[in-house]
Amino acid sequence: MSRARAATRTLAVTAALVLPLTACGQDSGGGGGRDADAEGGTVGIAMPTKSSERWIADGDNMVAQFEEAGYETDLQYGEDRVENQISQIENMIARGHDLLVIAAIDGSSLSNVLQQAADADIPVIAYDRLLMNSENVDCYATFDNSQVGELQARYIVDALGLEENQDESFNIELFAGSPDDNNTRYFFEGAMSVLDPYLESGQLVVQSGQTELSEVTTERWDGGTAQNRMDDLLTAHYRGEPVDAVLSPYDGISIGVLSALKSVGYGSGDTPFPVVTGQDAELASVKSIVTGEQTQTVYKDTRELARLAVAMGEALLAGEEPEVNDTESYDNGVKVVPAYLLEPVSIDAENYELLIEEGYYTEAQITG
Amino acid sequence: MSQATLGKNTRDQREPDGSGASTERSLAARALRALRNNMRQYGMLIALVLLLGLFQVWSGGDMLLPRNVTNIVLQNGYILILAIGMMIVIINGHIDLSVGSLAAFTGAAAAVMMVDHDLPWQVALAVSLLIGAVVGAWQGFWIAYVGIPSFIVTLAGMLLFRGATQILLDGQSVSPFPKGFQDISQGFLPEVGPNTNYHNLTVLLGVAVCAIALLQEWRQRQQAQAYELHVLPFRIFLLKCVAIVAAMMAFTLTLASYRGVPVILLILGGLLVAMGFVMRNAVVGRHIYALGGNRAAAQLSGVKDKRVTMLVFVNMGVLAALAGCVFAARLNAGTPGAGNLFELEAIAAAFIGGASMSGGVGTVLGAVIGGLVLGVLNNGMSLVGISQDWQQVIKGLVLLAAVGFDVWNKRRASS
Amino acid sequence: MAPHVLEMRGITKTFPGVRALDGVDISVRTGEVHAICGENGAGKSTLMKVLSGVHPHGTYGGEIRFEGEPCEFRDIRASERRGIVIIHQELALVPQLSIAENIFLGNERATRGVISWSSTLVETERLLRRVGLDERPGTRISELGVGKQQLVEIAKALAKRVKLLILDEPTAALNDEDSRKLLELIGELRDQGISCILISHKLNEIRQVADTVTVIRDGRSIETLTVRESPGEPSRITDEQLIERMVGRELDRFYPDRTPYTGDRAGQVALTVRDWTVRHPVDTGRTVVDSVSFEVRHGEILGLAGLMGAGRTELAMSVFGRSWGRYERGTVELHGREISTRTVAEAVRHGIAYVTEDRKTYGLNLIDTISRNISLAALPRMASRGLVDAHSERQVAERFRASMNIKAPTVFEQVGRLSGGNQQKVVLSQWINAEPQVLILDEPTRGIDVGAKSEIYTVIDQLAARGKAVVVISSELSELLGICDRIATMAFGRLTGVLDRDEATQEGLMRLMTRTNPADPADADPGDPADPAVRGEG
Repeated sequence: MSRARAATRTLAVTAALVLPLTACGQDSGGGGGRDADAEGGTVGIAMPTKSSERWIADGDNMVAQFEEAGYETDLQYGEDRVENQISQIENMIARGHDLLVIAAIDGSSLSNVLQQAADADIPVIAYDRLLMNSENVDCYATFDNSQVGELQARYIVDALGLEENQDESFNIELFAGSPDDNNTRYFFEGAMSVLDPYLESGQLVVQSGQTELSEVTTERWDGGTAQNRMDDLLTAHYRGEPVDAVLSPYDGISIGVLSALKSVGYGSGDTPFPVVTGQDAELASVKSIVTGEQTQTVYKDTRELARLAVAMGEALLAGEEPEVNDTESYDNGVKVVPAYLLEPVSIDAENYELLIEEGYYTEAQITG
Repeated sequence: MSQATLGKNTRDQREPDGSGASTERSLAARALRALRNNMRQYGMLIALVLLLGLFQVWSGGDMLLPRNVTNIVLQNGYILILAIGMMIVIINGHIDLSVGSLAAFTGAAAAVMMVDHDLPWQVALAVSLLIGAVVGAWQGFWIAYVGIPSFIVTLAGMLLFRGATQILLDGQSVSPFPKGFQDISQGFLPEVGPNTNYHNLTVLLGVAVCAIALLQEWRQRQQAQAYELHVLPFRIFLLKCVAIVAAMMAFTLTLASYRGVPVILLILGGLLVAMGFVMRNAVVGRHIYALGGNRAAAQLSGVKDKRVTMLVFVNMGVLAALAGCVFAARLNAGTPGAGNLFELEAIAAAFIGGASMSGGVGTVLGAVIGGLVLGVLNNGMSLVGISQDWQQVIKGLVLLAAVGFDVWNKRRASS
Repeated sequence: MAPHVLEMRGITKTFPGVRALDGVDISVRTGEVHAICGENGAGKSTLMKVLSGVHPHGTYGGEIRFEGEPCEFRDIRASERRGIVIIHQELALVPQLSIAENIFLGNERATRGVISWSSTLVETERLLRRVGLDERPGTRISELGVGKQQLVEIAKALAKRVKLLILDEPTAALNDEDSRKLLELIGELRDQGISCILISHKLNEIRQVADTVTVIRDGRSIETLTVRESPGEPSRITDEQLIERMVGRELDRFYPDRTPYTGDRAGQVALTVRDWTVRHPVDTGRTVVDSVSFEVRHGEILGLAGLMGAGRTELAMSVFGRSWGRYERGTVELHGREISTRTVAEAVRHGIAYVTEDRKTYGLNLIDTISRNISLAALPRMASRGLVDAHSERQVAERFRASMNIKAPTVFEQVGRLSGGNQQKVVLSQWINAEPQVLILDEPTRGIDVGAKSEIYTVIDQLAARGKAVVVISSELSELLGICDRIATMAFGRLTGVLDRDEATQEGLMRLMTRTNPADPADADPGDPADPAVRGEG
């Protein structure tokens, strides 16, 4: 008996759910035509992961600014898994969003879903990371990534006084980002374009001999991994002489490197810390710079980037050309994507107050 | 008809069998028992329908939009393929942790062959599947013939093939692929015939599958009656048929009002039918169940346990390779990070779908239903904007609840 | 006469459907070795489980008094606190831990949770000296032989300040030398005032070391005999007196009359096993089956009698696809032609079937249905091109359900839900369905009720009547006498005799089964004068 009832119920539920749908045909099935509740439309924002402070801030900034401008937003994080991000973007398209802002987990894996977006006439903005192999990218909002590497390398050159003082030679060790992140290459190549001449002239010496990108990458940008590698380098190559500079592409890695240095006595007595670079102006690193451990970091005001994305989005939705300042550099394999590049800023103990002035951190956060 | 069946049952029941089922309540009791024995699967099917309903309401109707239904199929294809293989491995009493890495490796291999060496995509696909088979045989060898626990062998495989993928790709994504390869994951059946507002081929296919399913139900009923086994009362049987037709046609028309049947659905359907048939009706399938249920007894019954275990892992390897190619096709790129955590999703799908930690239990259909429960959860939560962090919390609870429900149900049944 | 350290009065214990103990009385005097003997399944182990609290107070009837006080043990720890320690046949030592750690496992010398190693080691050394074991406390158990492990168990009991030590078949797995040492130790402990209950099949051991012996049969205590008044006296009782009391049961009248087989192959030898020798799979120094030869004819039921540890199951399983132990030498012939039975599949193909004594572990897939269990061994034959024909499978299962009277509503019932008797019928069906020439049935009626037993005897008789050669391994002598044409006896891995049904008596069989030192192995099988001393390693 209960089986019969269950069957009836199942049938009823199925029918109730499905019948209204099957009445419609292919025309109304596209999904793109659904009007959003807000007047301006809905913006889908796809971000890589919530495991990093930086993307959370980016997402929050964009949501705040788009909503201020009168749009609804749908912010989703892919937890660093490409398949999640693809599904999320598909779902955004299915819900009929009007604009997509995508910070790709893997820029080269989204071409199919971007085609779907194009089919539904949804404009796409690549955010921070370029979307590869696709016609369907309208514009690119980013910081100049190779310039980040250049800033780090330039800082090392200046701090060691390599240009003025051509007789002395210094020891340097190199670190790069995660091997599966496309930006890793930009950062590293940018830095090496500055450092290479000094390495050739022998003014800079890499005692470990590890100068190829594949030798110096840091899995998942992980500070612990970097610390282990630095420990090993110090043990193997720097028992007798000091290391004078460490090229680190990211603050998390810098913190790991500094821990390794501290454990063998750097920063106490007559062995000062070497020059250690960084990126992203994370709070821990800014504090470290103020107390004289880390030397430098590269500050990229992500609020600025969010503002840029919102401006581009508004232009696209209004049917206008978004403002760009680079129409040549960013070839994604299919087309040159018009881009707007923001300038990163180098931060050290001299100018860290800039972060407070800009309202990025408060005085209490840094000194407290 | 139901009267006649009842009469036959009564005769059997009157034997002094100790279970004490009396004539009056035998039918209801049996229906209940049948339901309870299959509670995990029925339960999950009901859960799936409820989930669909919940998100349909919550998302304001977006859930069952033809486009989104198609998306659910596309988004879960590769996990469902893995879940089918994983279910068989678990039934056999083993586990495979390497499928995610293996999928990444085979996908990467296909990518390198097509992009760097300009091989036709058919060749790349075939070679990838072959690699999967060879890797499966390699792991099966260590497990079956050397006797190293599958957990260890495949944990090693997980590391091994993840590293091999990164070496193969040199840390970079390799893309783009030829159209034909992309279609494995992104393609649809072609549109033919007159413009009917629906995808014609899909509607035809749906009707055909419906007819076959009904025929099958009817034949099974006839056979059961011929063997004097109890069958559902005719009215309920009819209701069941109507439910099957309604569900299938609803699904078909939904797909037909978007772009039709995706290629991946054809692959999945084929796998489901073929693997289900093998597990139910083939000697080797029976041996897989027997080995998982009681390895010692199966060995003493002459089951060639080593060969069967080997075969199970070869099958898993091929399916992992297929899933890897499907995934690569979906990304239109071979990437070093592909397949990360796939093994755990496939294992979760198998357990939600009715597998047992000790082996010997489960069905291929169960694995697909389990995978769909997870997939619909993912899709629905993403649609209504639940963030990834909470999604993981909820999925963890669902897995725990599904298996906990089963354990509770078994304990109640046995007491 | 010394006071009684233990008195058990009217102990009764029932399991669902079975009355395992029925008013057992037993009294152990302080400082004596009290032996308990009886057939397998007579209730000795159950009695000891009651005494040690494995079956807690309230689940049995009767009264236990220890040192004059009534006892109501709730678990093993409770009985151990009173000084009653049981050493089981399967040793309960952790092989990866050291001797010292094992001795004080669960009883650690510790203050506030921190183990005091010095006191542990000192104490261990003292205990090892007491049991005469010359090993260092830090030695791992896995490095010791079974005999030494047994001594560690006793040391462990001593560490618990044991007053009454219970040893369950302590020498079953030991060689002669180790056995002798152990028995000496038991004597020494007695002299130190520790009472001991010794459960043993080996009548010579009982005569050698016990002061008193109680015979248990069918859950009842039959008689308590005095072996000697003081240590050192010779034994006052004989093996015959014990055997008479152990078996003294009338043949039950539920055995079918043997139906003769009159087919073409009547009298033809089906299976011949020659000089079969197998070593223990782990303890490879031990020969578990030693130069055994026998044959069985079509239409014949051959019984295989022996006490626990005699090597019957090991013989059967090693012949059946070498599924037990390490093969040493010997041949198997079918109809006089030598065949290979290297794997189970080969054995099955040659028409040999083995129905296990432990159906839950080795016989059935408990989570699967009756029909799938019945078809498992015969799948290759029942399938065409790799596919199982569901119809014929169901039909076959239904046929067996009817003919074997398997009580289940449908053949799709889970085997795990059936009673023991019905499970046994499913295992039998599985192997009958495999259509073998030779069926080896290992304890086919163990743990099932009387009604089902009778049905199974009929099935066995019918198998033979249809020309199958049947070997029945059983510990119930009355059962073997009831259904077999010939009965072979094994003791300590050797064949000690083959008797025709008419010349066999329970007493005669028991004498052969307890023969510790078999005479010339030539009497094992007159047809095959094998001499293992001359033959080299196979």
